[in-house]
Order: sequence, then C-alpha cells, then structure tokens
Amino acid sequence: MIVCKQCGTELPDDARFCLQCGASTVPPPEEPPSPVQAGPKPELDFVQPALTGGMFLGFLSSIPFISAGNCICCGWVLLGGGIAVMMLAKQRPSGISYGDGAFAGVLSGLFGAIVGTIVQMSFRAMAARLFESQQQQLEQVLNQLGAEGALRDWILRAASGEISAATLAFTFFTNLLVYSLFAMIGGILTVAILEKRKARTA
Amino acid sequence: MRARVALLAGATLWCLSILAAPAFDLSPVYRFFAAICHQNPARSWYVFGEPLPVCIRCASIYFAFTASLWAGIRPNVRWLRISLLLMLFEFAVARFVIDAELLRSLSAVLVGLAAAPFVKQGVEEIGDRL
Repeated sequence: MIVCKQCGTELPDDARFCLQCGASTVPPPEEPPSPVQAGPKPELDFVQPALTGGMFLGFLSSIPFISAGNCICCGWVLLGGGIAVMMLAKQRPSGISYGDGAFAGVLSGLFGAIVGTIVQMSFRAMAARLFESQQQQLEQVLNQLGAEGALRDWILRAASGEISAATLAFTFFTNLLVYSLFAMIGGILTVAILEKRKARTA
Repeated sequence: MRARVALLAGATLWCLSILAAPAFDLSPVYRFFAAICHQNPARSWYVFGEPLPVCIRCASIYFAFTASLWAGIRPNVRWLRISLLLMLFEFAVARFVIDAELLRSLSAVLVGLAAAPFVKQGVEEIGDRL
C-alpha cells in the first residue's frame, strides 16, 4: 500500500494517481542542473598561455635562419598566437570568444616582442665579435656570390654588431607591432578553426 | 564601432603604404616589411618599375583582407578552412609542379577574403572590453 502525498488516502501499490484527489503518485523526474546552477564559468588565466606562445614566437622569430619561417606569412608569429589560444581553450571546454583569442594573441605578441628583442640583440652582439675583423671580407664574399637586395642587407646588418639605443628601440617597437598584430590574427583564426568559440553574450 | 573603424583604417593604411613604398622610394617601409616577408623581387609585383615591399602572396592576402573588410563579407568557418588548406597545398605541393603567380595570388586572395570577417569580429569584441 502507498499513501497519497496530497490527501493521505491509502492506495494500491500500482496506482499512478490518487483515487480520491487525482494527484500523481509518481515523483517528478529530477531536472538536470542548468549551466547556471552548475556554477560560474572558470575565469581564464591569460598569462600562462600568452607566456608560452610568446616564448615560442619570440625565440623562433629571432634565431638566424629559423626565423625565415616568418617569411611565410609571419608563420611563427601566427603559430605562437595559435598555441596561446589552444592552451586557453583547455581552461574552458565550453569555448572561448574571438575576443578572448584576440587578447591572448596580443599578450603573447607582447611577451614575444620582449623575448625576441633580447634574443636578436644577443645574436647581433655575438655576430659582431665573430665578424668584427672580417666585415670587408664578408662584403667581398657577398659580392662574389652575387647576393643582392634584402638578403645582402640583412647579412651585413646582422654581422655589423651595431647596437645603439635607436637600433634597440626600432627593433623592439617593430617586433611589438608586428608580433602583437599577427599573433592576434593567429589567435582569432585558431578560435575559428577549432570552433572553440562560445556564443557571444550581449 | 570604433574598433571596426580602426581596423578598417589600419588595414587600408597598411595597403596604401605597400603601394606608396615603390612610388615614393620609402626605404623605412621596405625595412619594416622585411621583418615579415622575404621580399624576393622575382616573386613580387612591380609598381613604377620597383618591386612592392612584400611578395605576391603577402600582397594578395593584405589587399583581399582589406577588400573583404570594406565589402562586409560574413564569416564562414568552412570557407576559412578550405582557403587555408588550399594555400598550404599550393605552398607545399603545387609550387613544385606549377609555380604560377596566378595560383599563388588566387590562393592568398581566398585566405584574405575568408580571414577578414573573423578578425573583424575579434577586434570588435576586444574593443568592447576596452
């Protein structure tokens, strides 16, 4: 025997409704918790992913020869922004917005500019020591090889070892502008490609 | 709104500087773009007898990107993926078979057109936060 929770009437075990008041004897199914009840969305920590992306793009964009990867549509920088976004997306499996991707990209570009400038200056100083006495010979070799244009300028500049405040400032701000911009684009496109975007809230 | 205008103005200025560099012999512009492009004259378009400061692929991406912003093309993930795959395919495989300017330019134009609406959306969202 079961008892109606509404009016207290005794009912047969298989009764689905109360014979007296008509109330259901079957308990209502438990509703799954709504996203709001499940708790607030985790706060995103941008620093760790941006540092990783920044280190990646800063180093690879500054090491001689390897940095040539940037000649392919700023490949290393785009990839650095993408790495930052992939790490960020792991923090929130429900998805991140394009704005989150853009912000992670800009931050990784900023870190990358700092890392990249330090690495570039270090390589320049090392090259200066190595080629100090051989500047003219290097120019002759380049002339014999027929190297012209940007490649020749780049080799001579890299070997000159000239590190002035103006060089440092120009390198840093160029890196900052280019890395932030392209890492931001890389971040946004990674969000789009991976479809990690959550619905944009108004 | 302001972010959108800034992006549009920035992209237009970017493209204008590419065109202005050979026209007015602006060496700082060549130096700036040297950081992001190989600037091989054999793989560049010429304006006023001088090569542009970026190669054909880069120039195609930038011009198409800016045109897409002006035209207000809507974002489409499928097109973005297809265009990126086409450009990667062209870069990795097609260049060894047919290294044609037209192929390089077309694949890059598709990427520029498809990417711009997403970048616009991201910049708008980041602009809303600031």
